Amino acid sequence: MNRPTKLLSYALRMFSVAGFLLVWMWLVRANLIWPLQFGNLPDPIDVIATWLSYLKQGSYYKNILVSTARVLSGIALGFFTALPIGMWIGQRKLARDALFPSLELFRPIPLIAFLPVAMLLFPTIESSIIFITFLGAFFPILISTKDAAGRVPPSLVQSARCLGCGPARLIWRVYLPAMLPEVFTGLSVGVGASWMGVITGEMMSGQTGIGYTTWQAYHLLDYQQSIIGMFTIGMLGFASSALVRGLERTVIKWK
Amino acid sequence: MHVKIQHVSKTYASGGGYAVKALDNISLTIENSEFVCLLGPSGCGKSTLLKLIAGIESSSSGSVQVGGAHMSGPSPERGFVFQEHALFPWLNVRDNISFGLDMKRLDRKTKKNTVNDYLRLLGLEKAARLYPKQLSGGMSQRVAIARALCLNPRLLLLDEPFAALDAILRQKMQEEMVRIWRRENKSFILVTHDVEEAIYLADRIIIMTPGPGTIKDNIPVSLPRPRIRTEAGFIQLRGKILRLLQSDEPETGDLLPLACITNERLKPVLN
Repeated sequence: MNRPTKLLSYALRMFSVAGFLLVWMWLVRANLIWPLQFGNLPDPIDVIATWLSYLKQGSYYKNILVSTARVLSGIALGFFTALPIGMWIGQRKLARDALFPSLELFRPIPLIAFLPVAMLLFPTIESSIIFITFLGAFFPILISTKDAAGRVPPSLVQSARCLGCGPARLIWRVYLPAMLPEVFTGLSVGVGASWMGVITGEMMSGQTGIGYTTWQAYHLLDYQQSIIGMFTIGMLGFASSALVRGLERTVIKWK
Repeated sequence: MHVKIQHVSKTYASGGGYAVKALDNISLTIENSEFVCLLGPSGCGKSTLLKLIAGIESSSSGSVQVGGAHMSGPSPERGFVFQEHALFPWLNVRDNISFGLDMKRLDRKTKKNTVNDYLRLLGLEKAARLYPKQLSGGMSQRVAIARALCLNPRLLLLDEPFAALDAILRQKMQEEMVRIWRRENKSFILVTHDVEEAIYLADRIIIMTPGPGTIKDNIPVSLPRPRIRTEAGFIQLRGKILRLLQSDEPETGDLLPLACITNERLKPVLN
């Protein structure tokens, strides 16, 4: 893209955000109650002002940090369990027949529906929330790893064996790198689901975190904070997927 | 490396409860530092035979002995170059070539020097940092050959390595193949369906016919090297081999695989 088109593209993007804020402002100030009760929403100018004051407070960052830590532990747990299991059931029909049906039974259940069981199973609220984020990451990574393991070209495996590669090394030197692009696809879906899980868990049962404060603010009639929480969650999700994409680009150099 | 194949048959289980007999009672001996071409139409089992010698597949009956020992899986002693080159897409050219060396306990310097030698031998010095995706078909095939050769195998097996290349590049690769073979003093077994390629390269041509795969003839090529494709002896031999290949084709030449299916090639496994 040449420079003027690039500038134009940036200008258009800024314009889009400004336009959204203007529409919001107009809807609130006109105090519309039909088709939706826009009059109930706080004014965007007030929201931005409050947000700026939050940016100076430690508690705002602390909540972000708490939620991020939960998501990261959930993803780490999900990744390191889903990867070997996915590889195993993708490779061996026996494992697939033995494990996959019961895993498939759990997969369609929305994360929020796991919460009662999670609360019963885990001694602390913290661990039950992490369990929900773990589930969010686990299934997408499991499915993509399983599919990828079944799709590793046999000629690559055969040629590695002809070059003296034993079974253990085959996993590290052939299967894993061959599966990596698809594993990353699963990871980015998993990261999104993990954020969904942490917000759900915090809203339902938490005492800390960005999901908790967003829901708590609603009960305290602090609608500005609810909206700030909402956008903060959006930005965190956006940053996470950008991070995964960046990681993917650094690791997968050969594409 | 000496290869001795005795009464080898190979049957595949295929879909629908049928068995496909790919090879039937093959016996063949290959001498040290001999260049042998397995020549035949598609479906004659020549690639299957090559994979049996590599140890990638195992025979249904009969014995395969390589270097005096019975076959027990693939080994770096027997280099294999796949038709679709099978390079590792996540490794650059240098790392693809050194893949087999990584499996051995070698010091870094020896490894590096060996890789450099083979990069030079196959004219790949400038491509060392490229990934397989960035390579042309001919370059990929050279990398695959270098990767197999740098382990210093006593036997190099090549499965239609130049089939996907254009005619000019194919000739150039064939010339290089002969050059490498003369330098390396190893046995080469190359599978091809190109009569000219077989005559240009081989000390001996094994002609195979399909349905099921059997050895039809064993033709020594005594033309002096470097061989010239337009020479009388070359053309004469080409005519002879083409006649041999055509003579067993049924009148409906194109329907050959179908004819095999309706005959004895497929036998129900279930009953």
